[in-house]
Amino acid sequence: MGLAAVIVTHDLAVVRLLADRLMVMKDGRVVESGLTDQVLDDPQHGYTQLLVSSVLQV
Amino acid sequence: MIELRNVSKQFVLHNQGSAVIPVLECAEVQVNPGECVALTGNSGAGKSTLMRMVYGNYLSDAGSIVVDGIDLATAAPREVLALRRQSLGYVSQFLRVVPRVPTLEVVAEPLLMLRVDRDAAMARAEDLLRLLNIPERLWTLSPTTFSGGEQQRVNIARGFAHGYPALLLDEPTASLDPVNRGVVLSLIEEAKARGCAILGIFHDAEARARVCDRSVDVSDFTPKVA
Repeated sequence: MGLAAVIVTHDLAVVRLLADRLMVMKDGRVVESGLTDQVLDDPQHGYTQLLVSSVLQV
Repeated sequence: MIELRNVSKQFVLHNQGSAVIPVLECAEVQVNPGECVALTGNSGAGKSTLMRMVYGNYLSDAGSIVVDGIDLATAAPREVLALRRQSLGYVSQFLRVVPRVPTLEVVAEPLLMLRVDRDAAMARAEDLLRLLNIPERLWTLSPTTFSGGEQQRVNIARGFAHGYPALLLDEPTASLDPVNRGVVLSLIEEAKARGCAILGIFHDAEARARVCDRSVDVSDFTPKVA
């Protein structure tokens, strides 16, 4: 369809399935951004690492 | 064609005492078209890490990783996405899918993303599923409830649907019985014959012996402890 979309969410599982790229925000600033799977699997910023480690695998 | 030069990687765990885990240092690997190169080394040596770096799933700290003219170490996210769509396939050990999507659609997806004609894409998906012994009654079901071995075969079917020039295979024959292992190895041989450059991790020594032309021991790139 060629649709451009921005998803705002806390749900990292949905993000992984739907988003091509990801921006992580903290206190009004973007602390990390990049390819979705790269940011989730190889997070560089401490805050991203904290977020990712907080998600339980079902 | 896959070429790694002087590639290094470490992990820094900011929330765990800022622990620094060096994994790879000055890694060099080259895979030519039509070749299958095996990554070997003990568990924890960095085989999957290196493979994920070639896919752009992990970042590189130094060096270059060139696949089909694109350096993944410096490429923008959109360039990596385009590379993955056209040129670089990856069969990981896990099948991650959108829930409730039929198996046929899952397998055809790489072709549909490339705007291949829908009928042709589905026909290719059917051929692969048939080859990999996934019963037809399962084709319209989501693979999320399938057995581990069945999921792995769906994963493999998806990975071989499009004729990528470069392919990354992480344990493609794990969880498979001898018959299906043979089918997967034939798919690999076919891919090599059409000029695909394959980088693979195979714990199965027989599989490695059959399809791999060379091995690279990633422990050669283990950083020296000071």
